Amino acid sequence: MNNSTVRFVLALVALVIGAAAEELLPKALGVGFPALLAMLPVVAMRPPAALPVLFALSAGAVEDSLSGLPFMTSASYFLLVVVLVRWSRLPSVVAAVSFPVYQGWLCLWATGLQGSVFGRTLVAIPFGLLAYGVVAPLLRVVERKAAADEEG
Amino acid sequence: MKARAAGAWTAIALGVVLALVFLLFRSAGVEAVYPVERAVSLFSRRVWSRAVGLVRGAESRAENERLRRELAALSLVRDDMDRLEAENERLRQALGYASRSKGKWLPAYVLSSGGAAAAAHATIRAGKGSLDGVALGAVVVVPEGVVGRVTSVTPHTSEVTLLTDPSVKVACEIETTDGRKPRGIVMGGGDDLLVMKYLRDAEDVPPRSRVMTSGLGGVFPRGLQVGTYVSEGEVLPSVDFTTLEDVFIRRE
Repeated sequence: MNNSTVRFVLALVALVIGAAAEELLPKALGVGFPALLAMLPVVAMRPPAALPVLFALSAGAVEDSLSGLPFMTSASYFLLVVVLVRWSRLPSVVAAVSFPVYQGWLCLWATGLQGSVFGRTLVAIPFGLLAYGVVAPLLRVVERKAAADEEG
Repeated sequence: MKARAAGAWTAIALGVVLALVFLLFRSAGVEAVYPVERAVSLFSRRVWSRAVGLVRGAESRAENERLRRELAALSLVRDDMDRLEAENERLRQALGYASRSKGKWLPAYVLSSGGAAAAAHATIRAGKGSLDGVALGAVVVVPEGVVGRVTSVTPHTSEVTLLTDPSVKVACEIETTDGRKPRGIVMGGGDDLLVMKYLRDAEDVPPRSRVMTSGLGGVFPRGLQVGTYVSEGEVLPSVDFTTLEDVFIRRE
């Protein structure tokens, strides 16, 4: 398998495990551990360009279906995050602000959300930072290991 | 000309695929995550709980013995109830009353707290779906009282919107000591307490009265406990939604 194929397979596995983690981990005010959103800045920097776009759309669609949100609400936002990361080349900065901003985005499109925007945003700041701090190094380690195995 | 026709066909095909994705993805996304959730749930129930049981050996054996005795006593009660139900049904037929709907309670384990990182509603995900006969809108309970309603079903799972969510509304009545049964609609209040709306003479209702389903809405059967009346239309739910492990889903 070439590197791109390995990355696609890894992204698929990460997507399923990340989505399950989001469901299983506890939530506050309806805000949970954003494992999928935290993966985006890492995946966004990887070639080929189709990988981050596909990942953003699939992860967003899974997020929407699990959260009971209108179709494409998260998918469109995830796509925006990917574009922003690729354009700015600052994955850590985008990762730090993307989850709190996402709460505002949800309030624009979804009705009947739990808690107030202010409360959700406050909870989202530490959750977003924690998720990126855990998920990003983990993804990089797995990717490096997979690449080493491939070369070996 | 050929290129334009090919472009049109591609656009149509893409439209059909997008429509299918739109229709199927909600269910497909949940089903894709289901195996991981089930694996975690099985590990925690079959492996982790047994490991804990080994550590607390004597305690578990004593509890097992107590549960065995309780089960034997309950089976006697159930025989009595079956007999009474049959008698009740015979009398209803003799009087020309309509038969009561005979729903069955389907046990289901709780897979997860439901909803992803941005859950729109207060939900849990149960490990029984349409393949087990769970239908949209089914009532979900535990022995302590009403949990909520099924708001989304996939072949193997069902999403239950909890009573604490403002979108779930239950027709209820309050059991008071003077025999009055004030009625109202109970719904989520946005925090841990429920709100009882359209309740007349709320100030006359004694605190700590039991709030039960009235069966008037035609969705929740009569006589299920919802909570305890606190004051000014506030109700404390009888179920602790944070520790749910097993639930019962009503199957008509």
